Amino acid sequence: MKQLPLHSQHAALQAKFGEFAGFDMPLYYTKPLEEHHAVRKDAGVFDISHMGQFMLTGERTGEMLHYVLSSNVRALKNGQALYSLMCREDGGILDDLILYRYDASRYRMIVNAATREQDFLWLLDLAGQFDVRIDDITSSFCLFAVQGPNALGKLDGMIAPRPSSMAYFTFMEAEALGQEIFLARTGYTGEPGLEMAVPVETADGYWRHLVEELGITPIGLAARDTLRLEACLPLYGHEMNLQRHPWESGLGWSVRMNQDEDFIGKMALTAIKAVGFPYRLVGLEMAARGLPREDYPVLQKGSEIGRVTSGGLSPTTGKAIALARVRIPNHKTGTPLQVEIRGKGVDAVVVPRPFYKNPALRRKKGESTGPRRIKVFH
Amino acid sequence: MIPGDLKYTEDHEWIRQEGNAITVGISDFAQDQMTDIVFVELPETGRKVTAGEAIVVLESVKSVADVYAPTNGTVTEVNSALEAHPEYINESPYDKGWIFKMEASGEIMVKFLDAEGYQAFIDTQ
Repeated sequence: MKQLPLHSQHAALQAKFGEFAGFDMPLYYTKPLEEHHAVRKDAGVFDISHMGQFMLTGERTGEMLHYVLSSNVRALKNGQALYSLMCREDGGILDDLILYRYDASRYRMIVNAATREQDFLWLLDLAGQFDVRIDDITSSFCLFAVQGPNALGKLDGMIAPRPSSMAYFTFMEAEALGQEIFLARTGYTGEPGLEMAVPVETADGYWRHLVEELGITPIGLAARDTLRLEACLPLYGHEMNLQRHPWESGLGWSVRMNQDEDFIGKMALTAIKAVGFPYRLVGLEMAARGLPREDYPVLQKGSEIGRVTSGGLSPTTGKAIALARVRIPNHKTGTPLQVEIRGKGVDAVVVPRPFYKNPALRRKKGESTGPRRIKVFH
Repeated sequence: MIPGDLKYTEDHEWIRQEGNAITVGISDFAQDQMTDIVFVELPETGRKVTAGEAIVVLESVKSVADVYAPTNGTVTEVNSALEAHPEYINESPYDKGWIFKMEASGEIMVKFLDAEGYQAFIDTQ
């Protein structure tokens, strides 16, 4: 199993480890619920150095990405970030990722750890056709996410220019602890925050500064999962996979369909949209005692009409919640359904997504523009 | 923390035995391994159970675990406070976090571990 570059620092903080995507990852340091609340109420730091990072360079990089990704890459301006899917020809989802545009010929991409190698090979194959260079820079950097209502304020003294001046879904090269670092106003918790990539050689100093000097709580993967579930942020391999297209995964909003230009998967996705599709991703809230878990059947009058994709207790609301893929017309808000828990149908109801939303995550009027970038939270 | 006045099983349950009356919970080691317990499903009182039968479900943030009847008998009482406060098991596994009581029927055939034996067992885990 692979270890994070700062594995020994996590061990020194008494982290409890578990396997995720081939990495021995910190699951929690104290208690998952405490860590969850720390991010919702104050600020937490996650070591997400397992995630894949690619640099794509060359004159036709923008053109290539506009063809490879299913979102409108052309609308992205310098210094902006974009959530996008990468689909196969049949519309199945290869991965979801965040793309960062430096300029028309230089982009950074952050992808899931489990799909990193497959993504790289897929992109490498296409890069040749567009004369684009792709480098896997994952092992050169540590990636930390600092998230929570106080995250930006706590980092203002450490980083120049001040992170609190950054708009949501933008990024920059900033200076911190005497070095230039990659800093993005993105995250996976439903809170304001930053993701920073720092050189692996000096990463220890940054981690220590965040945890020891600034007193930011270290957070493990267990809380990362409950935070993203409350915010209804999808997780690859759960809400989406190669067998499901974006509309069955709650991600149709990210797909550009009303444009002439071709992209991989467009033909299949156009046909699927024209014909219609039987499943939708919905939010469920339990109306009786029981915790819905991944892959539990969802029932309507005793018959299975879907499956839970992710579920559990919402630490913020105290309610039992789930994302589930259900057959239409059971997707409508207010529809009473049941989740089969240990052989018994337990009452649940379809509720609007997300389960939790921090109003500070809305882009303010006059902030940098660009369509669809913040919709992942809507 | 392994109180010396209790007995233990290799499923990390503790047992307080007073004649045929048995109280069951999970050990401090077990609650620490599970971490934050957020849901408890308890059996009905009066239920007849057999040794090794899964009769309680505990769910933490990320895992689901069963608690087993340590011997044959009848469930006489459950700690229904756990339904609203599953965290009692984490905070006070041997006291406020007790899970159920049962009346053993017939001779108790199961060999439980004493505190020393249980410590030796978890050292091998």
